[in-house]
Amino acid sequence: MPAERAAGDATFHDLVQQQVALLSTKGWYHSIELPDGGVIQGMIGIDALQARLAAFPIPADLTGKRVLDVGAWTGWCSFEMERRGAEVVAVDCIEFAEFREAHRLIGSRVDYRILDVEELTPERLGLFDYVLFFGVLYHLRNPLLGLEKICAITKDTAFVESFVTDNGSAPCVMEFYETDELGGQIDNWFGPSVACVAALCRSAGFARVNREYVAERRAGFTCRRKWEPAPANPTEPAPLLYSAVNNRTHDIEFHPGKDEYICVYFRSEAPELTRDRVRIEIDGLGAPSLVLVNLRAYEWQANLRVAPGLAAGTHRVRLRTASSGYSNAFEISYGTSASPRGASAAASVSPQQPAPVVYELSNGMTRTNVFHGHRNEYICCRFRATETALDRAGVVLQIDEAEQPVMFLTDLGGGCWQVNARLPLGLTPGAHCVRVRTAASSFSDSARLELSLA
Amino acid sequence: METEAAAAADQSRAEIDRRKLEEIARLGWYHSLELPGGRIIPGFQPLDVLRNRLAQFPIPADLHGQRALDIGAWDGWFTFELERRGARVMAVDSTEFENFRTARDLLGSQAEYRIADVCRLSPAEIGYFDIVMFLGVLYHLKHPMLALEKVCELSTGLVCVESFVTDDGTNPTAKPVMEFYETTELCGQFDNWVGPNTACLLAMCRTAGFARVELESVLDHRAHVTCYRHWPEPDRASDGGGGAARDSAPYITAVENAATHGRDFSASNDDYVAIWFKSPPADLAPADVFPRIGPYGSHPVFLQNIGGDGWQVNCKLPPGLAPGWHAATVRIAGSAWANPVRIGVDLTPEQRRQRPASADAAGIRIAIVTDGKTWERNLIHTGIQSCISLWVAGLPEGAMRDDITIWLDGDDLPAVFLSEPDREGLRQINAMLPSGARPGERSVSVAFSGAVSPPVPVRLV
Repeated sequence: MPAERAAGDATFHDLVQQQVALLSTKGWYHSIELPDGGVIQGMIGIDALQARLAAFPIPADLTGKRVLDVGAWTGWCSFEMERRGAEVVAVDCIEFAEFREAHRLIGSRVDYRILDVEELTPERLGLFDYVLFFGVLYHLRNPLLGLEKICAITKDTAFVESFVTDNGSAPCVMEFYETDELGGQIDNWFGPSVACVAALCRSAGFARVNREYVAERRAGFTCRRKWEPAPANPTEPAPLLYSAVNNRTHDIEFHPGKDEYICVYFRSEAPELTRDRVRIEIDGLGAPSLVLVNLRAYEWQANLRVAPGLAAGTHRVRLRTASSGYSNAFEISYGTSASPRGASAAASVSPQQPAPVVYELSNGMTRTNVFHGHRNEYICCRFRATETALDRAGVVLQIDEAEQPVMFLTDLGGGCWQVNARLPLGLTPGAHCVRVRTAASSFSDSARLELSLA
Repeated sequence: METEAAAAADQSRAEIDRRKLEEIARLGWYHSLELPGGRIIPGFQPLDVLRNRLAQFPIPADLHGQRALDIGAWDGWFTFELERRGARVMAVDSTEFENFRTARDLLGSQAEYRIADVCRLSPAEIGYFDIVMFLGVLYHLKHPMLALEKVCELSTGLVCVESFVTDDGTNPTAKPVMEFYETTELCGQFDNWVGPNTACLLAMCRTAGFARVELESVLDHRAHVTCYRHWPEPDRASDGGGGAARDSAPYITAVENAATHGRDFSASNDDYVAIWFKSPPADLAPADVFPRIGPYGSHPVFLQNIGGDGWQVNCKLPPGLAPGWHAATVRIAGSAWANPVRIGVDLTPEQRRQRPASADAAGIRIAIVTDGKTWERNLIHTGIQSCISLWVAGLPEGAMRDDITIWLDGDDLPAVFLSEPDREGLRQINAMLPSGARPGERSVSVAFSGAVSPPVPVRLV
């Protein structure tokens, strides 16, 4: 019976009072406020529930927002989010009759689902502006996997609350509970330190993780998927993004079945760039860097994990520093079948465009033109071309007149391009010639690389 | 001073890490390899180091007829060594190493090579393996428990786990803890995610679902752990050809899903099996109790005496069970296996129908009615989680729980549990009473397949 129609109805009031009397003996976890002002007293009082929620910056007006409450238990948070105007999905791993009762008494429209955290996917539930993840993390055998699922389903912000083993001073560790070590309960698996919860949240893919409180062995974190807004008046020049490639294959294809990492190569003239000042984003969602390496002068490499929740298709990577505007974007491809590499332009055509001019040929690892035959070395060839629209399939790279698969191509701006290819196996030590052409041009002059086996 | 010393230590460690990486890059090979004709490809790890790593584990010298999986094969030394011993080997790595393919060609190896993340491996695609090598991989994974469960699922015999650990393994009672490496904290590499201590590594291996987990050694922060999927078979001496030992076998009275109290299990859940058994009074400890589900042992996670010679043991549903019926049994140290009781794992409707209920149910009779918690006869306490237990004679062997209903003055109560027959041929049936059940004198009967037992009086209080 919907609450708005039940208010003032004497029969409903009597029914509710009967239910309250009955339910109060059932051992409710959350207390629940009823439409007529009555309260079902649970283990946790309304004041404590309100205080916990107030510790997080959750908007008072959630009209038009979707909210997911993971580990809803009796449902106080779900119903409170609904009261604030949100469309709410509540999830638990087992069904609580108390939730159903409260749902009915309140006349709630919250969508109640019985799912494990691993089953929370955008395909199943859609995306959410806000996600509440209270008191669940330490019940998971794979806590980081759980947080990755939470991150993937979050559009804006997740609020994470967990049992913690310390007051914030301990190093980044988690205890493992094989049986009932924690509280005599067998459903507790990991006890993270405060530092560890924050690290896990960042590793799951959240751009910004802010600790809200630590008290009485519980800690709360606000985890945002977006970087803070770019500065209105940048004080540093925007970086130039050269490429964003798969660190395993060095091409732009990323595979959903694998734990994939991106190497982002860029140029930034910002002084004293550090990892925590780099803001890389994929389709507008921020992703923290794992390492930042200065390759030479203003040339940098940052490595990061592919942000969770990417749909199949192409995605735009770009970056800025804490004090700059955004760079150009570079497209990567996720979960799509790889196109044949560099084969389609092989057919000879009569040149309609001037030949490209190679102005730099280097080892992708060392940035010199000397190669050592190492496993991950690749050829990085930069050239000028008059054409304004090149694609990877339309560029041919040859070593000693043997065509090599093109791993990726990027527009460096100003008519400059970079094409990467792997060093072929079996190349003999000594000097070798590299040249490129486009589908519509003849070959460039040859540039020289040196293979010197260690 | 201490900070300076620590900084110096950090610096020298970073220097060692850097030199190690340079050396690997210079050589181009991580594993050394011995080619036919005696030529050796020198890698970062010399042959004697590789042999010593393998020698930590009890792997037979002759592996003919066995299937082996090498996860994280890198350049392939372990793959080729197991193949040399006669095994059919599949090598898996997360990244393709051209060295592996080169070595395979040079050695004329038949080993299959796959590129996949360990958590994505599935028996449906690659089958099961007698031996799984899981060397030097665990600490590179973000979800170590998930990987260990996956590895357990793929194995039918033993799994060799080698991992970085944060301690030297000399304190077996250390609190199990695991460091988490957000970036490059461990060895300057960003592909290291977790560092368990030895106690934590062992606890995680046990939790993954193995029967037995044994620490072989810890050498220079590398722990070597052998994980077995089987219990040793009962001692021949105590078995005595089946006579005395058979009598000492425990007797199982009930098996159920510890969470749902049903007899259905799902391999995709973290399901636990509760086994109730009778065994002559003895101070049983978890280490004396050996549950087995299907072909796999599963170590006790919970054991309690429920009065007299009655015991309850809980164990994880072992990973890797195919959909269908599996026998659950248990033995205690020195005993033979108990009477097996079948449980269903991810049953299809077809598999359920494999045990058609007999129409011959006319003779069903309630022998005993008790409260499901207090065991008081013909007296049921109402309230939260009120439960009624019946012992019933005459149910056909193929009777299934879901086909049985308890009638309380004509109201249906679905059975939540049905045991196998006990020594007198009685089967226990449990049902939950609704929390609002009306106290008073009532009558209860059992309905099955169109037949109804004679009613028996029961008092609800």
